[in-house]
Amino acid sequence: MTQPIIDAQMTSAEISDRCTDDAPSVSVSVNPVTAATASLSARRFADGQRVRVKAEWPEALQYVHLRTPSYIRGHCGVIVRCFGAFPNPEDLAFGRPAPRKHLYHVAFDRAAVWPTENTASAASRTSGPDKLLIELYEHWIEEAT
Amino acid sequence: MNHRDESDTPKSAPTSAASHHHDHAPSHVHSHGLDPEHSHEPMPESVALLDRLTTLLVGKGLVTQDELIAQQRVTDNATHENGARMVAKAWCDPDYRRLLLSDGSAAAEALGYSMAGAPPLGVVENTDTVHHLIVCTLCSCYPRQLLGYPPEWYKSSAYRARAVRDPRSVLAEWGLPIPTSTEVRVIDSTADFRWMVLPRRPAGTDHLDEAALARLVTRDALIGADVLRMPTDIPFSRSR
Repeated sequence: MTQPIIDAQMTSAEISDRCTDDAPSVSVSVNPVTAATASLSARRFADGQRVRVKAEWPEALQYVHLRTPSYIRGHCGVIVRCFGAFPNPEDLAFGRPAPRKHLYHVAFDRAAVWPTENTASAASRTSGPDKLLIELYEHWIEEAT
Repeated sequence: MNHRDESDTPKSAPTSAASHHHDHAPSHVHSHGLDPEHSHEPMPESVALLDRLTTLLVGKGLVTQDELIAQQRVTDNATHENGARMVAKAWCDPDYRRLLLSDGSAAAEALGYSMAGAPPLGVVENTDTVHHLIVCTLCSCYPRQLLGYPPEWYKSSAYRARAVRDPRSVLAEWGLPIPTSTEVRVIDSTADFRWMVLPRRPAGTDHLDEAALARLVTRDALIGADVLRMPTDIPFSRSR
């Protein structure tokens, strides 16, 4: 299990203890951005492609830093655009070397994600379905079959 | 400097979170380096944590004290007037509008707003058929270089939860019913971009120049939480 450097419940004294030079889990000497020079493969998903957000819950197993909201996991959406690649914030947060990952804007049908909310409005509309647009990293999405 | 929209028109968080609403005297705003929307002094624990963190960062040579001060100065001095100027220019200059919508950071830099060290800025355009609303459900991501500090309601659990579940009701409760012919797109600012809205130019403003147009642009409109109108008898008052 990965030990967090600083936990929200820690007292100042505990934080102070943890934030010493010989604390075993702190490795701030690595610059994650420049260290992550591993070659980046081509983007996996095309604009307009239907994808699913992985229904995975790594926070149940260990301390993690995630940018994939829990409410969208397991839901299907459509790739709107690829923003390019960014150092993986899941690694940056822990000071680890952070390989770059492709980041996508993915559109979801709001009513499909929240089927019990505002159903009357959804039925009476003449516009397209309301959307949620979410930035998601490539390793969190898979082809929707 | 006029901080009209930051202090005079606090929008209460939706639903029962109104009990968490605080008034604060404008004189209190910006009296310290922390979030001016908080009416409480920061908790001693938080201050101690911040002190230890910055001491470590400086001690390890990751940042200098001068860099910290400079960055805080940029953030303290930023107000939504920065974003408002960008919007007014985009309304008047088609080339700038194209730049704004394709590369928001470059458009900010073009008006002299430093985006150094900031995440890239994405700008989405509200039209008569699409209304964008910005939220950060994970925390409170917000384009601070261009809008200043986020308002308290933007950081509230109520707004963050309801904006993605039922954005139309949230907007309607703020007096902004979205027509059934308009699609609502909620941008959940989850990762490496920050988002700003290019609002619709109000009708009846053809005679206004860029500076006058910029004064019409409210902070909330820059994140889709307001719809702009040409002021009539009560200039700039949006109390609701």
